Amino acid sequence: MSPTDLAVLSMALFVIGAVCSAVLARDRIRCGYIAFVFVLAAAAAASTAGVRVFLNGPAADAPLLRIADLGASLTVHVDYLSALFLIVVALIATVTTLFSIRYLEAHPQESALRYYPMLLLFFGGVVGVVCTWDMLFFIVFWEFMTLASYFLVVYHRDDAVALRAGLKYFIVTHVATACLIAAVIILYVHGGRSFSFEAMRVGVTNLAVHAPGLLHVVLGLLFVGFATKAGIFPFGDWLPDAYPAAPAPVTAAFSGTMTKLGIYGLVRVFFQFLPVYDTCLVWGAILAAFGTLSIAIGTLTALAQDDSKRLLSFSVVGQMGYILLGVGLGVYFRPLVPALAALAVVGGLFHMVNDACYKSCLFLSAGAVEHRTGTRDLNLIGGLAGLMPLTAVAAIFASLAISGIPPFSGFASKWLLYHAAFMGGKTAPFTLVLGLIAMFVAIATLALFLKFVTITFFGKLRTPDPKRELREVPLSMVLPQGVLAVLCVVFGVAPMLAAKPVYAGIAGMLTGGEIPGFAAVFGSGSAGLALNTGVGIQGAWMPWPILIALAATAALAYVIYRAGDAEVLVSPVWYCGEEHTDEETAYLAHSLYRPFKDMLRVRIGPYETEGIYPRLPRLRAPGFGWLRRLFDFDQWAYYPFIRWGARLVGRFSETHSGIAQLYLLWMVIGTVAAVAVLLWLGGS
Amino acid sequence: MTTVIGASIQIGLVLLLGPLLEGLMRTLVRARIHSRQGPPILQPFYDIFKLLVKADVQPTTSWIYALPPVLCMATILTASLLVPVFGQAVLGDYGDAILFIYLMTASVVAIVLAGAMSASTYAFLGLAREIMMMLTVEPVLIIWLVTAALSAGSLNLSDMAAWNLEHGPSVSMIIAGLAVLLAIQAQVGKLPFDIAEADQEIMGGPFIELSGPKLAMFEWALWAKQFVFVAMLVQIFAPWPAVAAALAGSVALGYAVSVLLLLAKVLVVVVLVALIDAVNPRLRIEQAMLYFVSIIFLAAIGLAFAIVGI
Amino acid sequence: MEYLLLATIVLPILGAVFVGLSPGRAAARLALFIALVTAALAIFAGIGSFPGITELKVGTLPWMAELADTDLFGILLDPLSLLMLLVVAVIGFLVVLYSNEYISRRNREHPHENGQARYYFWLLLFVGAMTGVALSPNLLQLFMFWELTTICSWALISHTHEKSALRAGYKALIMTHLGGLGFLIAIIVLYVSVGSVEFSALSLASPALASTLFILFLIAAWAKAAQVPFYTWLPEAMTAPTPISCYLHAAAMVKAGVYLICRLVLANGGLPGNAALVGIIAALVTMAVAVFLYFFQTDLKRLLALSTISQLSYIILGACLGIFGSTLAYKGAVLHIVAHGCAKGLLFLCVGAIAYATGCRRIPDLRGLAAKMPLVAVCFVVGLLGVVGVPPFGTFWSKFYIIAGAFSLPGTLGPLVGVFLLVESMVVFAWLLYVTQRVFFGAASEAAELGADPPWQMSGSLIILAALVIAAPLAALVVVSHLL
Repeated sequence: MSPTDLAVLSMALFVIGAVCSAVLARDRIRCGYIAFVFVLAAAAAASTAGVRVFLNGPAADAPLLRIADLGASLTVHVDYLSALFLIVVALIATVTTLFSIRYLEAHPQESALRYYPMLLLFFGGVVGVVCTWDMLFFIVFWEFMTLASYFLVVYHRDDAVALRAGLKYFIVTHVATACLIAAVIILYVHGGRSFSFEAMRVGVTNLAVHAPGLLHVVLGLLFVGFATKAGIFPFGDWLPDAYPAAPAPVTAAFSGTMTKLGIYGLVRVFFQFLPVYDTCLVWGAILAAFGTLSIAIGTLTALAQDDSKRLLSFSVVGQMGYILLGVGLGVYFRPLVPALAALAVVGGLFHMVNDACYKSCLFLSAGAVEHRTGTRDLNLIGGLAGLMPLTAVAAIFASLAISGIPPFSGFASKWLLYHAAFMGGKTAPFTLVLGLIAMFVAIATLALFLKFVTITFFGKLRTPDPKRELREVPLSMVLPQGVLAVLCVVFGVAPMLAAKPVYAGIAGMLTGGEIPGFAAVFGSGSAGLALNTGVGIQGAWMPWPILIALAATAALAYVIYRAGDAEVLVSPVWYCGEEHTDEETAYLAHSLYRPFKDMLRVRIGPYETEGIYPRLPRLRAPGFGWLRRLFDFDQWAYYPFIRWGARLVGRFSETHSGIAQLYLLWMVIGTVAAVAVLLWLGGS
Repeated sequence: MTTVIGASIQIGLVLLLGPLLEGLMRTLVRARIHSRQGPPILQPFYDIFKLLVKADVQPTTSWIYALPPVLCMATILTASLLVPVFGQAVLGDYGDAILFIYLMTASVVAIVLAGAMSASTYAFLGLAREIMMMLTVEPVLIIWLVTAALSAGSLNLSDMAAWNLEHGPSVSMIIAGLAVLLAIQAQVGKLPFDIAEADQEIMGGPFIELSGPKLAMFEWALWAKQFVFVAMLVQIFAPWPAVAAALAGSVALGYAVSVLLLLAKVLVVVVLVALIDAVNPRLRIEQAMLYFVSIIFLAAIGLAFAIVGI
Repeated sequence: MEYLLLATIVLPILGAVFVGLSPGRAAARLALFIALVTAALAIFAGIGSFPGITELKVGTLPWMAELADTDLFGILLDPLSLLMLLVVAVIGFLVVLYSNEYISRRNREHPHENGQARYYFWLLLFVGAMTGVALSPNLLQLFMFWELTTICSWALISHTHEKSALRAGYKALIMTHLGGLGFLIAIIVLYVSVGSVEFSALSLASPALASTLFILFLIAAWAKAAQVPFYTWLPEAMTAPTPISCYLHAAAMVKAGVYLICRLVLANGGLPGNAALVGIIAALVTMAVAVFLYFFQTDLKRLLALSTISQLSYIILGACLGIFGSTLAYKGAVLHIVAHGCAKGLLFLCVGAIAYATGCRRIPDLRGLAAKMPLVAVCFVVGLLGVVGVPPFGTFWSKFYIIAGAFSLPGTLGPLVGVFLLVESMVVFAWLLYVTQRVFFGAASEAAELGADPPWQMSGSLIILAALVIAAPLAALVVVSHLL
């Protein structure tokens, strides 16, 4: 089977799986396993398709469906970029579905009918989005995915908060889709009345030549549309509300696939549709600036959160900012320094792959903790490492990865981003500033995840409900976290494993030779990265020598540590001699970083931000009484008219008074009038 | 093989010179200013040897508790291999300035984890301060390295040093170096910025529950960190005189001379650090953070000069 | 085949007479049978003659012989009337099926069973009149069936004989009838000036006259399709039994108005632009007004009525854009007849099921119905997504056609209209989603405690329509591509 067939097969398996799980929904465990089997098969098909594309080159198919009137056709086309996303989607789909099986036990009141079918349809939509080569069907799959995801967000449908979040989510993303539709139709009109990607590129080219102003509008609409989905501040305002509302595995799936598709769209637009013009400079800068804004606002706001999933959600905003920064710098440097463009965008997309792994892992870990303790409030939990060691290890690995601690995966991708930003500083100083902000905030990310990890897993054992049995989650919930945590290490110590496919994904979309070859920019070795953007090696990240050094020094340190052969004694925590209850000595999540959080508060007049996250004041809808009265045609037009008519008719009927003399008088007047008229007519 | 030998020598130097410098500072500077005798210069070594054999009292039975001290030491020793002493640094081909910053950060992570594992309120109080300090101090370090990188056109530490050596002092580097000097007290955990440990206040913060070999490892690691950090500062900021070119023929001699020169430069900075440490009271955390925000602006001005090329 | 098509008009009308004479439940059964046969005939004959054009001349009345050269009466089936015919017949059958259960004592909103014969008489007559409208070969015959639908709707809206119902029926009759006057005048003037009552006669008239006549036809269509300024009868007509409202909105009555416009645009190339401009502006104003009134509507059914009003504007708008040369928009308008018909029909039947079970239609009183009425909830959501145009459901395709068509027009008018449509559909989407969430999700309210999924006759109609919401527009896409 060709990769395109496999992609279609994968989509079909997701849909069939959705139907089968819907039929079996009464027995939720069995339903979960059936769904998982289908997801596994579909993921196998999707990842095989992806891998085969990387081995044998992109694959395109004849259109499955054609709408001749519109010039749209459902064409399955798997290029390197699609292949990359297919593999990520396959991975995330598998782990989150597996995690869901036991996770749903905690919510017996909610039907599985609203879970697995929707989840599978969601994944089917995602696969559709990345495999289609036609903007109309792209939008169809895109909205289909949004639709399924909406139902997953409002899975807890008795929860007013979840409902409000779901409403906001669906409306905001739907408006974003309207932006996409508007932009795509404009390109359709200017690109030869077709929706294929080639036609979109033609449309952009034509606009760039004939109507540069309109091109900016189109790019702006596309940017808003995709950035909304990607959760970029301020367009992604829905995200911190909707993510915590959904069940944990769903949130993991969202952060691993759906938000990433926003980036997919942006990359398609700004690398495939947009040829190298000066427009790249404007939009690259805008993208990078919004990315950096998102990095700062998302992460710093997350610092102030005490709800584990809300904390993670804000950090999604931050991490998506890094990815967008990479993409934006890539776009910016396309006309200027192609090597830097390659560096930046590969860094961005590499970060995206990493983010899919560690962020999903963190959401799953938060879900596992919630599953056992029944709460997401970090103020109520603590010290779970001893009881849930595997979850703790996975969460710590993912936290170190997201914080970019070497040798975990986040370091490698952020390292590429920093290099792109700093080395670009010679050409465009603003990238330097963006890079610095990104790097500062990376430390805030570390602070953020140290908070998450230390509060949840270390410190005193705390749980809101002492009667609940606290132990490690079952294997089917540990395994997904484990797989993702291992990947956090793998991509860190073998960055080439991800960087090469990512580079292929980008280079495959560009006209040949626009960016230098892989080895020229990233070094020829397969062990690590040795960057060269034109004037020799400017920095290297070779994980293995560093790891060996770390291991050797750690061994040395351990030898010294054990040199005295000191005996180990255990004694309770020392509170300087005073007696305290556990409650008194508990250190709450809320107290962490208080002075720093105070520094971040912004106050303008009566308006004060929550952290640094702006909150819109509640608006009161005006009553529009006069407008309602104006539109009520009955009251001021029809009824008065009818009443007036009725009165008029009443006047006439008054003449029928029953007095014979009066009738005679009318007759006389009438006759005289008639004669007068006749005479007048005759006279003329 | 030379790499391994070089690495071993460098690690050995760091392990030895870290405590030695601390001892020198205590006796020669702080005690002098306090008008007292002061402990023997080798006192830090005596402390370490004593702690290594003392009982290791810990609040949990978990073996994980042994990890942070070891990791802290390992990250700092690895970071020391990135310091360009004579020509290219030992690990200079494999990592760069960003790795150095992150390794320094990783050592803080180890301290934080150690504090968190001990489950004491004081430890949490201390680790929160530790992180907040990191949040405001690290930017200074980053801006400084980026300033150097921008001038040198490379993030490779040896390239930066080489560029400085070749082009002499520039306005941007002086401003940025000044900023780092102003931030150095916090980086090495000295007064007025030893807020995270604050013995009189929160009993050592993250280290409150540590004892015996663990405490020894952390103390040693922090002394080593102080040395590594100052060494990096002087090597990038003031790599003169140009030994490498003059003594290119003889590696051993060149290296030895470089080390001695480095030591001399480090000593100057360390004395300065000890002076400030001895005459200042501790700041509160929010005062410290505000102070560093202004330092960040200073460093940023240096960066601005680097952008325009002076 | 032609005679089968003819039977789709004759059968319901004749059947109506028999049904009218049958007693009680038997009338319901008989009506169901007749509606089923009609729908089957329509599907069979309609699809059988697709994609060709079928014409049949039946004859003329002696005193009208001089009106036209050939026989005046007959049937005409082209892709446009095929779509209309299928919508009318299939939804007609579903409405009759639904009514079989709805008109009963078990109904908490209208718990009575009397007058069934009367009810089904008028309903079948309505179906017959609408197939007549769909298959009419010229304006005169269309006008006759047109007025017949007005009378049927009057009788059906007033079915319960409550005071408000009588008033609403009368209002609907007067307003649509007055609009019909425009139609009549237009036909007469057309005949006097160009001597023909064919659909294509309009293009024979001088541009000024054609504009005037088109505006007269537009007035008739506005009144029939409840557009500004004649929209006020439609929300009031919501006192009708819900299946009737469903039929009025989804397939009959209001669709007759937009069908007329679509038919005229299809038959007459090169209609004057200024008349089309009037249609476009009126449609935009109607949309704006309807959307504005959404926010103050607390009755679920009236909210749907307002939504109908704005959706019908899409069709008129699309047809008028077609006059400017945008075939895409025109095709979208025709597609919208089908897509909106299915989706809005489904929504009304769902509201009927809610009222049937709970006796309540007020939005503030309904909460958390989904737990009690899962099937209705699913169907309502499907209908909602169909109406607001979330892909791949229903009106997405038609709206996309219209918007793409609007953007394709040269000049600024088209893109402006396109942007307006996008904004409108977003606002509608947001509000309807909000209402749906309020009504179906959350903890169950007092009224919702009574909720239960309806019996099979009603559930069956819901399920079939829900399937049609997804499938019908896709099938219609194929038919639409044969237009123009």
